[in-house]
Amino acid sequence: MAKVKNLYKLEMKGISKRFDKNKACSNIDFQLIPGEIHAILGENEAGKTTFASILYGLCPTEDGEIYIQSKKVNISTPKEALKHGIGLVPQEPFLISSINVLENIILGSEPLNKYLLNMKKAHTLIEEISQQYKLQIDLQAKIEELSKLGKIKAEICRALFRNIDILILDEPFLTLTPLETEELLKLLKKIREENKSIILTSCKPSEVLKIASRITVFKEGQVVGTVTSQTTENELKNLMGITSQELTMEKQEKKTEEIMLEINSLVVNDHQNRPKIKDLSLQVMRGEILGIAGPEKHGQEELVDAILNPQRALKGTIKLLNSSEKKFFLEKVALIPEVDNNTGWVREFPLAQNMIIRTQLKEPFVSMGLLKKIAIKNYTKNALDDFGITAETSRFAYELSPSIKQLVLTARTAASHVELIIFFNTTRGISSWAKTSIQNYILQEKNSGKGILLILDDLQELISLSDRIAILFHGQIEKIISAKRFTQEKLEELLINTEKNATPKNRGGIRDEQQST
Amino acid sequence: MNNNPLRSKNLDTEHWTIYFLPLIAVIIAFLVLTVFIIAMGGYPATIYRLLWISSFASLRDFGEVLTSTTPIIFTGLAFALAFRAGLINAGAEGQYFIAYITAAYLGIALTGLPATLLIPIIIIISMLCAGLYGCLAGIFKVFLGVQEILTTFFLNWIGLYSIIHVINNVLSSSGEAGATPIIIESARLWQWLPGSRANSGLIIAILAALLIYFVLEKTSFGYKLKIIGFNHKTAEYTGINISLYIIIIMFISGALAGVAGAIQVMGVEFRAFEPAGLFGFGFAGIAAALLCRNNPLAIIITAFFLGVLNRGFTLIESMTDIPQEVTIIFQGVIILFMASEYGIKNLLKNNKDISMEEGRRD
Repeated sequence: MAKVKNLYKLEMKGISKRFDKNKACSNIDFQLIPGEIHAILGENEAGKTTFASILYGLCPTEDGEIYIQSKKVNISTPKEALKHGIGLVPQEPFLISSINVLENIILGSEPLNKYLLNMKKAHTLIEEISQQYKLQIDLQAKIEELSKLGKIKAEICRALFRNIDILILDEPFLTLTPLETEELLKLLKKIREENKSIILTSCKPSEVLKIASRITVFKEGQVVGTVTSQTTENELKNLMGITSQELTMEKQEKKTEEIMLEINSLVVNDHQNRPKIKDLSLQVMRGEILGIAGPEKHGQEELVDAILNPQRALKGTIKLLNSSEKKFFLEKVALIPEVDNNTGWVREFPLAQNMIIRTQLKEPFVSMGLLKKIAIKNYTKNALDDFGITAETSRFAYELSPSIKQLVLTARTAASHVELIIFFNTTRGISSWAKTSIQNYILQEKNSGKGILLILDDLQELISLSDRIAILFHGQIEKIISAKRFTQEKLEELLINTEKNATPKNRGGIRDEQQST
Repeated sequence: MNNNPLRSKNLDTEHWTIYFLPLIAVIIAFLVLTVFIIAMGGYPATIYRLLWISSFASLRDFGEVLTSTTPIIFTGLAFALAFRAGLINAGAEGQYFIAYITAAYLGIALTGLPATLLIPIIIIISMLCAGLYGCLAGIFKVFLGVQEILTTFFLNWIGLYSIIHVINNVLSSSGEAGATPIIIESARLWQWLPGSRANSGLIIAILAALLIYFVLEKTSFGYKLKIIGFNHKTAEYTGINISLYIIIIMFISGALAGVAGAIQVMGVEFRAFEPAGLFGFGFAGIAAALLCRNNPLAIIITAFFLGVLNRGFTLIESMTDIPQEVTIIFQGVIILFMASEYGIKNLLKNNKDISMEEGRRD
């Protein structure tokens, strides 16, 4: 019987963690078999990240026990976790941007030459690891030059350099392009071949089925069950508690010829004055949802900035309903960014004061330079009521959960009389009921004749909502397609081809070609 | 995400000690002060008794406390307003000097006007000059990207040596060295407490505090100012011209500090004396503002508290070996404590997490 005990590489019993009043994890049992890829699947806010952080010693908990090869261990700092052979690739990579990739990788266990740093040795050692796993990392690159995959690879390399046995990856596929995802899957398989175990968290059943040998499903901080990869996507969805909510809104096919937003040969630089949008033209019609697909950081931020404030444009024209007046844009264009982006949101303000930012900063809420607090309060109340949000108007914005925050922003936009709404990964990282509610809202606004620009990295969602999809690549529109006859696979393929054509030499590689020029 | 441990530490719910942090800061500042008093050979009990007597023994003493409170209210307001917009004005003293010399000059130059007209004119022109001096830092920040905390700080010294030059060489009075001629009768503020120098400047200070409170809480200007202070991206999204606002806010902040200088001439000294160095009003203002977390109304109280110390130790210096500068130590401790509020919150937060876990296991 003693042998059975040794079966597990890692065993966790009764792990619990709470933050203030919320329980993030409660009584979690988890077992890891040597050499397996074990996925932790669950909705956003199900406690996956907390679980990963507990294991890596980032948020130590006193409840529960951790065994590594049947030996009880205490992990309360990342240093201890590394000592026990556990490494983490966090959702937002922990890389320091003022030093290069190599320096980041060796940080914390630098090879020494007596007392001095031995960069030559470091270089050889890392180069060896890089060769062994075919990482293709440019060690001298700056962190900001790296793509998302590049950052993940650097993090993986750092973990491998520390000689870990168990690699945890937190939502590694979240913002990767299809081609990058493929490459990462290959890399993970390679790491498993070297007899290391991998834990990865994800919120997408389809993704984990591609690679995991076993899947543990989390729901509201608890383990629902562990299944093998012989399961189906629907079964996993059932375990996660996702009832496939149908959108209550229908997409109406309205043909209008009125141009809502017209952009002609736009050029925009980022805040460091590097060219980001190069000669971009597009049109959004009234009652149309124009989706934008493409790899992260290929000019999406700058495009949005320029539409919000046409003065950001270096060259070219941006016209909303044939006007390019700044005041008109301020009142008629709204943005709902992703959860972690606080543009248009002041966490330290009460909800009421957050409701009048940008579009409503005018009569009747501001008159003669004074804020009309009662009018603002009533307006907020009504706007929130319309969306079924019960939060008090005097509550501070930072008290809201991510899903509620996104709904409040949506309610704010719904109450204001805007013409063009930009959704920028609005539904990323929130629970599925809030997602459905926001998707319904998007269709509702389309049907009521507004113009909608939808930037999303979830391709499936993008296809189901959009009328047309523009492929944004290196600051230019590569192609505009009709979303009607498109499937996710076809769009993925299209993106992969675009990427392949653009960077034939360094396919999916670490350097972002555009920035090094 | 609220409970995502990988993001910044969750500071959303306050630990109870945070509310009492100003009180704790004051207590610790007193402890440090006591240690210094003992080290310099004083008896704390005697010194603190003297401190009390020098401020509250007679109406005259109380009037002197009010006199030293007034400039701290203004420099405190100057710091608080800028701080709410995310700017640090470390140069209230320099802006004070500019208004100080302007008021001293106008008080002798403008003759033939009635007091009801002359006093507002002198105050407003002094404010303008101090405001322009303050907005220099704003201009440097907007166009050259220089941190306003550095420029304002160094402008203190430029202000100091400029007015020393002016007092000694341009406006020197014939009889005495190191002072300008006495200003005319109709440029003087009303000293309402016989025997002390307490003057109507205090009323102006309290009105200014009320006005700043109103601006911050009730006007769209204050609303936009706070948005800039909290989140530049949101300010941009809202369509606020951030550069313009920075310059305007530094102007108003400088002008506020300037009123203190004008009142010092018009209500207290009736002339400008050559300063031996920085007076410390700017520093005291920072302490007063931070101690009440930049609340414009509460600044009246914290400034009074620091005013008591300033007045007390000026007197104590003349009677014992304890130098007046110990008040700066006191203010320094307070600033150190209140400025590290965020870090202290963080520390408390971590301990709380652990203690809660322990509590649950029992």
